[in-house]
Amino acid sequence: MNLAILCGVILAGGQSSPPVARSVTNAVGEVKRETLANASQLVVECVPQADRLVVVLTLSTEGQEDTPATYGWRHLLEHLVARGPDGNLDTRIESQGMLLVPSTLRDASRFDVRGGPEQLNSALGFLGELTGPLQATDAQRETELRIMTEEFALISESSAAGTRAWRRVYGPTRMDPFGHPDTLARATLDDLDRLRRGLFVSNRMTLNIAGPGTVESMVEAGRDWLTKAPSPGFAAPTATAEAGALPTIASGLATSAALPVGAWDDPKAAARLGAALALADRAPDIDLIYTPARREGLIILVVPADGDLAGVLNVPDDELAYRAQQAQRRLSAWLGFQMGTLERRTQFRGLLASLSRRGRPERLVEIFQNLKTADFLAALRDWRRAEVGQ
Amino acid sequence: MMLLGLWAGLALQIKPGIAYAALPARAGDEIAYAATIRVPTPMSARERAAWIVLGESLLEGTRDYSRDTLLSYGSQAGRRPQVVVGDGLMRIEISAPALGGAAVAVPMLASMVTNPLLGPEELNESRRRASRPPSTVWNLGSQPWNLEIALVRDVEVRELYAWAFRPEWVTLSVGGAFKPVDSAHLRGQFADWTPGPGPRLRPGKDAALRSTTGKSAGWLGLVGPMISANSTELAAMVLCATALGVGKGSLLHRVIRDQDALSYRQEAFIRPDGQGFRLHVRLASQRMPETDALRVRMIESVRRWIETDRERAVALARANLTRGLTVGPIWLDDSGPYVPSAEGDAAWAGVFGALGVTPLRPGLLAEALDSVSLEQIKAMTEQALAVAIPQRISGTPSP
Repeated sequence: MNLAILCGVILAGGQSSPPVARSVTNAVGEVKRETLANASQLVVECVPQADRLVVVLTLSTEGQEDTPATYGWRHLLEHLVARGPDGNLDTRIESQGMLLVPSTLRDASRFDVRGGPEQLNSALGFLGELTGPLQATDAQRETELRIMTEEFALISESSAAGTRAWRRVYGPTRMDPFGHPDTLARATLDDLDRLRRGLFVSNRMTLNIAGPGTVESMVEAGRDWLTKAPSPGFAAPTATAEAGALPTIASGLATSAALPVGAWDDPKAAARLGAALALADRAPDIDLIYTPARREGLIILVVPADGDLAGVLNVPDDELAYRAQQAQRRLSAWLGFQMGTLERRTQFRGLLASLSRRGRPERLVEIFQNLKTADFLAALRDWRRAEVGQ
Repeated sequence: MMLLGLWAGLALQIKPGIAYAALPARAGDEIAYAATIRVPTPMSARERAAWIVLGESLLEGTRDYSRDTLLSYGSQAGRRPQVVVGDGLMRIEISAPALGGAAVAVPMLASMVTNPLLGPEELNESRRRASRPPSTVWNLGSQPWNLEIALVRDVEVRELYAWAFRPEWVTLSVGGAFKPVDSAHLRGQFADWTPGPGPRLRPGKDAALRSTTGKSAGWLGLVGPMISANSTELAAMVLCATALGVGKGSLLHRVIRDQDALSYRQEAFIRPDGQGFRLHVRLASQRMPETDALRVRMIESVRRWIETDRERAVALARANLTRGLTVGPIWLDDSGPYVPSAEGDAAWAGVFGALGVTPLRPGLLAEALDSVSLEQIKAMTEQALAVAIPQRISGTPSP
């Protein structure tokens, strides 16, 4: 199914007057997806006019999510792995005009290499360096712990409010991946290497390649890379450390409202997201936090502590129909944003594929298309009753 | 030097004195329109505070468009209108689909520039938002003067608007997949705008930087000397910034972060400031190093740069300028690096135009990087660091 066509349908269908509807038609190329014998997934997007290349390795964390005992360990592992076996990987990548962008999410760890159109082999070579044994020393681990403490001091008020909302709604069952100095300090190099061996295995891997090469050449290179991926065979590591008290994220400079939702393909999640996007248009200083999830997800609206969150959530009855209409438009614009650049689109495809073998943006388009005004009206009413807290 | 021959964008003066600038159009399905206002003389602390409130207030509605209409624009175009406030610079920007988007976007942009409401309610709300502490310590660097904001009176904001938003200080720009008819539409929308000159605000006393609460991370910056926007040294300065603080192979990342573990985020870049560009070094840290010790540490490291440092800087800066690598050495405002795109090109053209020069094409600047030697980069960086003015803001922002 062609995503571009479907987006066009959504943007045009049922709208009274979308004077400046955005299209992603030109941006999306031919997509080929396959599952290899070792259970890894390959997704290739051929964009002949692209002037660059994006390669994203997404590692599913299913069954290996952060717990109160291992809170932040994947994040620390990301810091150490990204240095490469010689501790100088970034410099070598950048010397070729390329970039490594690692990130740690609740449901996935992600390593993203960006480069020029001809640099696919280099990109895959660099990604391959990440899959080898952890070469870090204790001194490096200590240094990264100090750097991460600095990182925590920079967490935005919105992010902190989002984390507190997750804690309120799900408690320790859906830990954020940031970590806390106390739990991070308990992670030994052995712990981290066992975590790595459980994570960097073929059945957790989704490799996305997007660029101007031919589909055949990119598929061949991707297959070749994935067939060399380490096989699973290690039990998911359990923390040797005991769980401490759930660390707090202090602040109080922002207030959030949160609505729990299901997995990435839950229609109610889509309706609530659309409603949240429409509500975010009611004031200039609202942040919306949402990442599609494997199972339980959360949509969060955040305002500064002196913001009028209740005023935003409580849409007057005579405004509901208008906001419901806006919700549908906003949902299309949201997907358009995710798909709007090669980098965002490749990350988004990788995340959805890692969440589910059925995970793809085209499925979201179908879900969005099937939503009715009544779904958005119900979602807007749900937001009136959303759980609010500091 | 070769840069003198590189001014290949377009700059025009249009009636009644508004400038227009653009880079060549690029393929795609989006156009960005921007109006950049540049006050050519230094602002007092009071004026800077009023400037921030004014920037906030432009999204509070105009006489033609309600606040809700402005905010809901994103549901149609994917992105709200943006107001980016810098020191003496303000950019109002709106993006639209290339096909048929101008009819909505351009009048909206013009209305925000020429017809903002600036009523008591709008200014109250703007003052309230602008008075908030930044969301992260990193942003302290771009809001060092906001202690004054709560004191700014409505009349001061209105007077500042009337004084600063005058045609001869406005540069219109466009970027992305535009055609001549789109740029003509933009220019035509402002053709009849002839406001009378407003009074200048009386200068206020200079404000201190944000006060400390002494609890957590602080922010430290170094601001180097200015070079003009058409300087032959611009390519060298781009490489100084890149070698110093762009990417994880940069000096700041390798030394200040990886060796000294002093910070998580540290950046160097060039940014428009006054009449041209200045080199900026910024880092956030909970263990704020002494400025002079930091300066010495960096200069010692610069002296050890070798050819591979130059090569990395050239490769990275070129990748940013030519194919949109998302890290880069040229920041047009405090929000992050220039990246080739409709919005990026509109901002680039607007800034260069506002600085009074024809916009340099990013691709041609990239070509000029190869001719800069390692010794040039080392000498220029060391000199800039030696005379750079320190800025320190300590402590967790407090409400």
